[in-house]
Amino acid sequence: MIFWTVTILGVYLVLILAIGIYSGRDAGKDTESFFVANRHLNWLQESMAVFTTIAPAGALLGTIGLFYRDGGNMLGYIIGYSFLMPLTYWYVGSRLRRLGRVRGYQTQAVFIRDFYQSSYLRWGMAIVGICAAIPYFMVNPVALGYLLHRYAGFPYPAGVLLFVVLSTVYTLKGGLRAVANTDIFHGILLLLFLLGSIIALVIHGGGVVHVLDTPKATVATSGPGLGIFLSWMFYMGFGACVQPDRCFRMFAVRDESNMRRGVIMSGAMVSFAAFSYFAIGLAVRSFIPDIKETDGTLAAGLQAAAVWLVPWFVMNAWGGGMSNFTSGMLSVANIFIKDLFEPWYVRRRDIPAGPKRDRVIILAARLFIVVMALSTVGVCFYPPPFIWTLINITHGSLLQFFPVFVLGFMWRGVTRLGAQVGWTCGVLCMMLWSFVYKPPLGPLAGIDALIVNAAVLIVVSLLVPEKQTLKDQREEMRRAAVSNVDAIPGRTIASPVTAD
Amino acid sequence: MKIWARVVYLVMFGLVATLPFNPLLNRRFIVFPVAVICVVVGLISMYICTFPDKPKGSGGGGAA
Repeated sequence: MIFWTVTILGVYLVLILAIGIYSGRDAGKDTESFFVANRHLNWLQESMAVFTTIAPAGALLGTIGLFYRDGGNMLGYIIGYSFLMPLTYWYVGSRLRRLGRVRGYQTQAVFIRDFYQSSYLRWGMAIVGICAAIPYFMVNPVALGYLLHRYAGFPYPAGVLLFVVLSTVYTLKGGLRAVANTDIFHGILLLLFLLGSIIALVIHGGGVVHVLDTPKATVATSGPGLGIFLSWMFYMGFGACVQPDRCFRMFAVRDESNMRRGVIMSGAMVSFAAFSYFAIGLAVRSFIPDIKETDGTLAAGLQAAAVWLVPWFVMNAWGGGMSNFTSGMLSVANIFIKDLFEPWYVRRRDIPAGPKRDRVIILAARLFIVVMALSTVGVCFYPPPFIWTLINITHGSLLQFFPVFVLGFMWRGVTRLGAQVGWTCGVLCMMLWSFVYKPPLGPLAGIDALIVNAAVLIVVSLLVPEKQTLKDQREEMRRAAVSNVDAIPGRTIASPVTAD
Repeated sequence: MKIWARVVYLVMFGLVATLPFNPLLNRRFIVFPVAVICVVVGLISMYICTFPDKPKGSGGGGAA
């Protein structure tokens, strides 16, 4: 098995590197080509990128373990990704894509600043976006280093270094286009692997009827099980359209038709993956009912039922991890460059837009990516004990932007003060329910805080009047967000860089 | 067509989101296939919903 694991993974990594470097030949000219692939991604690149980022190594390890432990209560996870994620991603994503075309947006923070005329929300979005993404993508090499050590006898430090170096090389070379094209390769292999795993594990578990013949195949009608069902549904459903590693691709999609197909295809593939986790969890439970360390559920099941799939499991876990890691690095670099570095640099040096400025900006982006890669190596060797708490807190804080986006587009009555106070209350409530009290409605504090956030946003917007000019500006952006920008001939993309 | 797609999407979502409270469907052999069917139908209906509305008065006729 060690031989096959090393061989399959080796061939896979060589192919990934070749695809990444070949795809990114012309990507280093400016931030448009590096971060948003000249806004020319097609539906396959878009959907595979979203799919593989949502189904990282953590899904093959941790999420399948959750389905094994909680069974049907995790249906909320499937419903969130099948129904709410495509809906919210389409609603917010298609609008941001159109505004990005017209106004040159590459990050959500700049859009928020213009939409609400609020530097407070803009900085909140940029800082929370960076803080949320960094620990999330940095944990990937830790898991994959251990995985390679366990199944191929590869030393842990060497596994971590191999992962970080390869991922960083093709990200530096090709930016988003390289990441998106390697994601297609990752995605196809992952879908095939999941299909093979379901078939092998369900057959080993005695067939579909035997696997489904368990109380775990139903949803709890009350108590913590129901809380898990409802919390996951909204957490997964509302989170994707505000998380930077997923949504910066919104700005990169070619046109409306590709956006439409991309959203539906990513919904379909994520749904398939989520149903696979459910089926795999139930199947493994049918023949190994007492796994304590649930992170190893899939590996334990494959070792019992189809040991020939273990090398493919290691390879796909690496693929998912690389996808999540590279898109995380790229999105954080995007936020850092477009929201922090470029405005500062332009203000300080007063250099007009052109090749010279582009060269410096791209160099800064690449240096930032290298610094993050080095930091990741540090985290892998000295993992901080609070890293999962940090991931939960920052993701919950990011989720608090959901009403700011959705209510902002949907409701004319929304005001800047309402959005600011609502988001602040949401973050404070999340801290309170994470560190001081238990969340009242379910296991995920972010969802409880989201309810308070939305209520406060609505109440403050209704009670405190706002200047008509601000409302008119917002209304103008709403109109631009639903106009047909792809039909405008010779449109120009204005640089959103300002020196505020 | 589009209004029906919206109705179908909402019905499918309503069906799966209320599974815990639905004793008819919340059974061990039924939950999984019901969820699969609802998701497939829901995604198709959502795809139809994403198309823009036809502009008023554009039904039929030419530039004559």
